[in-house]
Amino acid sequence: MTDIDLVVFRWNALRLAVQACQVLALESTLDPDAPSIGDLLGLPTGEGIPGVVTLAGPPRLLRLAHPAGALRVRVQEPVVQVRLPASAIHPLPPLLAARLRLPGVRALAWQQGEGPGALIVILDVGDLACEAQPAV
Amino acid sequence: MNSDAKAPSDAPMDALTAALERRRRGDQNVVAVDLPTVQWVVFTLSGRTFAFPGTQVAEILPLPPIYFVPGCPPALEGVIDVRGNICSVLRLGDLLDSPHGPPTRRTAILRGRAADMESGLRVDAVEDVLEVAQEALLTPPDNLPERLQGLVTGVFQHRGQRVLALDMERLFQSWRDARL
Repeated sequence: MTDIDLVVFRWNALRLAVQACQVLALESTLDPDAPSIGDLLGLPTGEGIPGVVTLAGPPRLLRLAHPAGALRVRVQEPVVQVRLPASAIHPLPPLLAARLRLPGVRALAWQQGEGPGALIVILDVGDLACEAQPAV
Repeated sequence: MNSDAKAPSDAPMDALTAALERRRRGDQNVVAVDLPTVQWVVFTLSGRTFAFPGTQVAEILPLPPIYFVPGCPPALEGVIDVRGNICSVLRLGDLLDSPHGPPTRRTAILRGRAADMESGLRVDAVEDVLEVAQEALLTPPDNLPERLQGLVTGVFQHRGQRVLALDMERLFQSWRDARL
């Protein structure tokens, strides 16, 4: 069975991921001008899981391969690469897909062996809004 | 009198006597009436009783952990893990203007299927799964709240309660088309 490599990161209480092949680099230097993944997804500041208080992890900068050029995005640690079996990755349920307002959400996945919060929201970098950024 | 001493077999029997005689002989003709029935899953939302056809309910699940997905309308509570698969969960009470009570051990998820759509539906409690004769399903009343019009296909009585019969396909289509 095919395995899929993902880079998983956090944004507040959310676990988000992109395909590993869409990640060009992980940078520790911060660029305050780079948009956060929350900005790109249109999440209100601090949006997490309702009723769950989580501390934001230390920030990191991901350089992503966007069709319009490299896209630098602020995310939160932990940033890890995981390999999931294709059977753990699911298309969006149809009634969720019909009303989802978030851009770029491509699939959902369960990471087995994890406690609550094991749901991973997989993003398509190509669908994220991208303004021209200076090459680094 | 001699006439009173007549043997019963010689006198014409009235209807009651005949019926009693048949009961004594145990040979009454019982006519089996096989009425067409529909299975219903009966549940409550804030004290109101509703039902879905059994054919539209794949399973009834105890309330599992629900995982929040950002960017969804509030009535879409999140997703659940159903044996490794992902199923969305709609707060049915929110869709029907019947606010949910606090979660209890009777709170359940109906995993519904209709047309090519599938989703979990949160309900306060499942009351029964029963067969109801088709002819017992009456036309919906005219005074239904606006939100329920078009979703309710009929009404029947169960344990003295009025049960509003819902159609899941209409519900899912209304949700998908943002009419709910």
